[in-house]
Amino acid sequence: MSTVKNGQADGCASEISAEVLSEIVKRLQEKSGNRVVLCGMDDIKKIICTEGMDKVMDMPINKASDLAEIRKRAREVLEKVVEQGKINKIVLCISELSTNVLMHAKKGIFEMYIGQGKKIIIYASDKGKGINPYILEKALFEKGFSTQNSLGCGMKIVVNYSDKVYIYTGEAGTFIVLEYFVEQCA
Amino acid sequence: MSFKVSRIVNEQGLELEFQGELDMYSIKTLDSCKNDLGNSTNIVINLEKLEFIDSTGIKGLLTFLESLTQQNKSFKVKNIKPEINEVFELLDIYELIGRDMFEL
Repeated sequence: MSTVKNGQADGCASEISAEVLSEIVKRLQEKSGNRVVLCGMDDIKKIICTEGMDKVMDMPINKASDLAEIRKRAREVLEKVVEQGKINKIVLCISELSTNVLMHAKKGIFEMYIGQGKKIIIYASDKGKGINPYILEKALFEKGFSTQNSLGCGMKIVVNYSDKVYIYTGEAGTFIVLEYFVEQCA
Repeated sequence: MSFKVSRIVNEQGLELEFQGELDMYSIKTLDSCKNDLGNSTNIVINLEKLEFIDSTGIKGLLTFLESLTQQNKSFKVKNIKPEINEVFELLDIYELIGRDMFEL
């Protein structure tokens, strides 16, 4: 069970009560205009297993030196379907998610899916303790850069640069799906 | 792509040219040069060849700039690429450091 001090819930995701979590989920969706969705593990799996989505990348995230290789390979794949400006944004989000995996769970998995050149899905997962949704909410919508909260700054970029963000965080770890809709095929 | 810092000494002082990608792995390269800047009191940080920076890299950059201030060195950051400028704006970096520290 979480505790609430000065309006803040402390503890990791799995320690927060359903009631507090429900309030945070509602606020996150409202404030983001439904672009950020906290959802169940099964929902995440349904999104990445959608018919017509082809897995084009699957790489482990084990160490900081993996980040450059993940970005390089992602660029190579994306150059075939997306214009340069969007590639830069997607690659930045990939770097943010992968860094979060290393910082908060030590290791995880990165995958990318492309659906008929029209939709791109980025998926990062880990088996860490999960994200405190209150910290997530605070980081996403408070103004300013926090040198203390690297998770928050990274997620602020992710939310601003993605068309849709689905997050499962709980006892099984953290699974994040980013969706991008491609307007023009290369 | 790795990250490196090239030093160019000119009449205005010391120019540090950042090259490559600044992330969780490469910030240690930046950190290692903060105490090896000689006697120059005016430092220009040239980001023209900085190809990529993420929020961890930005945190490393801010720590580096803070160390310059602590060493009583003045600095100016120049040649910020549009995509990096956009991220700096998003994270309010200019307000945090002071917009006059950047050549925009």
